[in-house]
Amino acid sequence: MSEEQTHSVLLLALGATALWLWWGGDALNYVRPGLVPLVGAAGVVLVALGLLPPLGLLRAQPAGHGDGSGDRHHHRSRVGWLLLVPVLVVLLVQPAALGSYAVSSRSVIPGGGDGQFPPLTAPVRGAVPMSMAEFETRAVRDPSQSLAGVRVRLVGFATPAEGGAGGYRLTRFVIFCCAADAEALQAVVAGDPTPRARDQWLEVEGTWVPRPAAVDDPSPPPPVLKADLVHPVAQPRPPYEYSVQFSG
Amino acid sequence: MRSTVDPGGAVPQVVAGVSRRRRIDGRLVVLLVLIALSTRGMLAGSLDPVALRTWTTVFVAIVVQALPFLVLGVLVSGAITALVSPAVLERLLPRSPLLAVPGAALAGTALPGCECASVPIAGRLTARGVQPAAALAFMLSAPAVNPIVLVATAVAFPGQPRMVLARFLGSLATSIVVGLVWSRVGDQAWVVRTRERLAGGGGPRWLAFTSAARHDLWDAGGWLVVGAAAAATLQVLVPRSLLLAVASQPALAVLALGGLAVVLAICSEADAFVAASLREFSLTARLVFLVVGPAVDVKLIAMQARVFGRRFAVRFAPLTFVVAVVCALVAGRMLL
Repeated sequence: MSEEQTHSVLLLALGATALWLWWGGDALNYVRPGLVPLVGAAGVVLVALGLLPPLGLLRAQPAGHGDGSGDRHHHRSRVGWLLLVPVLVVLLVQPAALGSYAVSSRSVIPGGGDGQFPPLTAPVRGAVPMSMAEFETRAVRDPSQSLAGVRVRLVGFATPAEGGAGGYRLTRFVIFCCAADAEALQAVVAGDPTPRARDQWLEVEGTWVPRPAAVDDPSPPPPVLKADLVHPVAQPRPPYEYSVQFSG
Repeated sequence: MRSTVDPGGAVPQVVAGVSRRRRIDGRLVVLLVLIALSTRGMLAGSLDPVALRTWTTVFVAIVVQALPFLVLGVLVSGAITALVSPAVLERLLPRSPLLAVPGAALAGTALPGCECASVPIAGRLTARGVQPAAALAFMLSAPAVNPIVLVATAVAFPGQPRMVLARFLGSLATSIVVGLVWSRVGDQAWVVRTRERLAGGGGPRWLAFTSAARHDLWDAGGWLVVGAAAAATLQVLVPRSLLLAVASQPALAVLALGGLAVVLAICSEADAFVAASLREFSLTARLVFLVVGPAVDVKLIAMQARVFGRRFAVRFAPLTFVVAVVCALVAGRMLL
């Protein structure tokens, strides 16, 4: 096998990994949905670069000695071998979506934006479904307390309460481009007698425990949700939210 | 004695030795991937240390997120090699750096790409005979001030259009100033290595294209992996609380966010949202974060060290950092 062929195999492996992440939907664990087709496209290009002649695996066998490209490629660095690392990590470890273990350093409360809060959407089956970002923003930043008395439905995973006081926080990550820039949105769940396992995904219905808005406080405490109906659900796809701006 | 003058005996031996070593390399890849496939997910259960689990997700996320932009970048750099002859570039680009550098910086604003895409492109431009100062100005401006990034910034800072303008001016000024400074004090010898290594060219265009694209993918891709690993490690190890404690000191806050931009290595399409979430910090400090990030971070330093050489990187990174901080502070003073 010539050096070019070895590189072709590696490009093929990398491209196939990208295609697999795209096709199986696992790419959603790492990047926002808008980027997923681009990951697939990158996989196609990588596979093509690895396969197509004159340098790829599908080239005609060179008639003479040497590997055809001859003096074209100069001495190559070995650093390209590192491209094998993400391939092996994806195949061996299959990194999951970010979970409770990543929360501590990434917790965030959304800003108030321009202070305009659109009307709530209509309730479905007795509760208003909303993103964690909308719940947090209305709870913490809306001076007119649009959440007061409204029954809401939230989806997130359980994170043990800080200080080991029992109870848990409902958590959802919001990512902007990829999981490296994730921030955790959290609400304290009160009134659920059942202990919930760390990282268990839950659908929680309940009402917000009103508190005066902290419009300009950069790090207010997370809002509290008085739960009256909690049941476990499968991890939603995609697992993240993608904007701290809920309007529009 | 006789064997050394006998070419018929010596040459095949060498060829056989080289190809045997390479055959092992190639089969190693196949073997590793096959093992990985057959034991899929087996390691996941044993990765209980929480930091390691976060690390793998963040690491893969950075690589996956950068991959499309890297591929786009190497396709463009392959096209430059195959289609743009040095003679054409010489005619198009003004000879004086005073004109070429701002021209290249403005040209960069038209290419929507990630910073990982622009490093190999700049390498190819230098190899094609573009003066390094202009290629570097292009490399700095392309990821920082393209339309996608500006729209993302406007979305992340609603009701604050001055933030978008300040980012545009700060980043454009950074790329022009760094380019001009480099044209004055930069030593050709620090980048000339690029020209030797990447020269290639000639022959059928398709071969030149694939050869250049594959070469750049190999190099830049490898260093992207190094940078992603470094960024993931620092994200896991440096607690956010430590950074926030710093936010209360204005001067320290500027340096801290500048340093954070270097360390986090977030792509320029995303950094505005991260900056928007750092509400503890002043707008000016967050502007520094936005101007520094696309110009210099751990991932870029690693890639530049490969494309332009280590001697280049150790001089270019500090220069860019200082210029970016100063330009952001000036833009912030004027606009925010």
